[in-house]
Amino acid sequence: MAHVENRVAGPVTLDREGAERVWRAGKLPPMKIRKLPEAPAAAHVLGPAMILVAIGVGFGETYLWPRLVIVFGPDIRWLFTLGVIVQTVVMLEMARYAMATGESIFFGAARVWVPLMWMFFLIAALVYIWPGHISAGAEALEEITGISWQASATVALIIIGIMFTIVRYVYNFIEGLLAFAVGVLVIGSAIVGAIVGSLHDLGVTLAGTVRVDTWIPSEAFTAAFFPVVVGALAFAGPSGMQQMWYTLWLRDKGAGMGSHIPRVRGLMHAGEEETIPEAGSMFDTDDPEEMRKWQGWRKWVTFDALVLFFGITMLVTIIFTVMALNAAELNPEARSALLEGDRDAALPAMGDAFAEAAGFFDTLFFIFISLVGFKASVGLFDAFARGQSDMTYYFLPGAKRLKMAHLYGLYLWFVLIFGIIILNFGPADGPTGILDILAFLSAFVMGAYCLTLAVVNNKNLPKKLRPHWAFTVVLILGGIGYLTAIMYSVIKYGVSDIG
Amino acid sequence: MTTGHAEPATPWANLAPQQVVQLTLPGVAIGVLGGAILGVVVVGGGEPFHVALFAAVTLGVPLAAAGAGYEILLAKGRVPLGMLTPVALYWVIAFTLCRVFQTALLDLYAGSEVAVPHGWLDFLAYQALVSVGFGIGYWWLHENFAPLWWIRIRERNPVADHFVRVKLQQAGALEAQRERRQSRQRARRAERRR
Repeated sequence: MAHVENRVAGPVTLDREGAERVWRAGKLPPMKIRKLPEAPAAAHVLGPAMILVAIGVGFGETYLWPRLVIVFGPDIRWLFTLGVIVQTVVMLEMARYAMATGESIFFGAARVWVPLMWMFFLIAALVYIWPGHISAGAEALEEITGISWQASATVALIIIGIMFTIVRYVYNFIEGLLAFAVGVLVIGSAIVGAIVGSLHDLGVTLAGTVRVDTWIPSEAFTAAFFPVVVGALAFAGPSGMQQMWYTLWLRDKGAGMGSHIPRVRGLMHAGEEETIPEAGSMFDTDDPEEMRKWQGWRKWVTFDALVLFFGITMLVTIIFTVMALNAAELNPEARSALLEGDRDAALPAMGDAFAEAAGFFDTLFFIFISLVGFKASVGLFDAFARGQSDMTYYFLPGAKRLKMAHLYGLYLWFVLIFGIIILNFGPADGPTGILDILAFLSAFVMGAYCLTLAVVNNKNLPKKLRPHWAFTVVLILGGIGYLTAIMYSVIKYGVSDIG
Repeated sequence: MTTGHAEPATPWANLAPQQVVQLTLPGVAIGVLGGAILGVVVVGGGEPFHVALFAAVTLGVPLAAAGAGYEILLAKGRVPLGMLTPVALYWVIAFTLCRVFQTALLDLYAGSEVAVPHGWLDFLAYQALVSVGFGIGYWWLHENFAPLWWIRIRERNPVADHFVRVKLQQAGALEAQRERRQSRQRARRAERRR
């Protein structure tokens, strides 16, 4: 795998008086003006969208949306398309800030208002310490093998912890691992889709993907299903805080000004860590040569967003919808079972629906759900530790006495040990219950980060780097949309109905 | 997404048969992986092992052969390195043919007449559309993992060495292309001003 190896901080630029040139954004330390490295050729170096796809293409595409299609038919899929379009814009805008400054979006939020960053810190702690993804994946594994989901999930958590502790550069390792998992998922989906689907199913699916005139079926406006629809909307593409963590992966990949920040190391290699600057940096936007390089970086990330992120997300979900349609046609009883709204029965009911379509279909469904669950967990535990350690390092007084790798290891092992305790001794809510709560909370944080991102990019960046007004509008409408949906769900139906 | 620059000819003519086999490995491996995924799914679904094996082999072998074909085209310089569109177009044809082959063999194995549920036209059109997904998956794995194999064999395989150098030079070549374009534009503007 090719990497953007350009880890030289480089000299800062001086003005006529010999003082360091800086870009000021908010009251936090200014960003020193440094050189922007050359962008790689688009399409020849896959960017961190790969990781975003790897953890983002998951339960939404393979479970929540097929489930909605079985219940409501393919015409509801336009909502998925809408969600993915908003997420593509969010991804491009997250990348704008991270590549222009080398800072995470959390740092960007702190430049606007420090408590805003701490809000994200708290939400991450509340939402992501629960081992929801891995427990759902492990339950799917139990359906196939009979191995207790607590046992397999516990073993997986320990393996994840050891892996991230012993590797030198965490990013390189996770990129390779997830690249293989995504490849298997895409190829496997295509092969099985080719065997079980038909041109008619595909046509109906594609029509449902773009037809907005069908609106939302009235059956979806119920206490049992409206929150699920909101959760599924939030799970279209990367959910929850994954997009925010994407800025940290971009930095570790060395994208744009991220090349001036050292990479996160595994705990066993903490001693080799370089000095971390007190803030990000900025390039000279009045220099045409620097702006040319910037356009190169934008092209690189746009390829990532359109082909890898949008393309693969749509591809996988279209194939799974074709499979779901096939299953619903052959097993109408599954639809009734799902409509009754028994959430704990949803996963087996989906399996039954798929089993009716072909002998091996239910196994395939559970294999994919299992793969998705474990794959997502690898990315999410890394992301959680990465995000929390970043915020702690820069903003918790005294935290800089520790190295970033120490903080990363601390958060990683905390969330893993907590996960093991919950899996084995915690409230027996059932895996799907955990997942639905996660989906619900995801909608809130997504609304919050859309609005935050709109402010950060329009306030913290020099004018020449700010987003087009249309992108800002998408961010604002997306943020309002997520928040309205979640508030309507709470006011009309009550949050407790979600579980 | 293209870089637009002409890649230099590969040293294909100098290869020994063993070196050609080395180069086909990534494509063969991805094809075999496709067959293995199907086999695991079928055997996991409770079908007898021989049925799963038959399903895996009848799909995996043609996919592996087609994967080898793609690698040879790449080694000969007939398709450019790293571009998604040629990979997707190649698999529209190759994947569809592999599925026709597999379906026919499965029907013959079951002792029935070779036929498909909604007619051949419907079948071919659907397979061609789904094959784009396989093409993207192939490109993804190829871009991520084939370079690791080429680096491993570059000392004893001139085409692999060529691929590694092309990969390393691509960013630079793109830059040169941009510079050429800009200097042409500057020259045209200067001409107009005169």
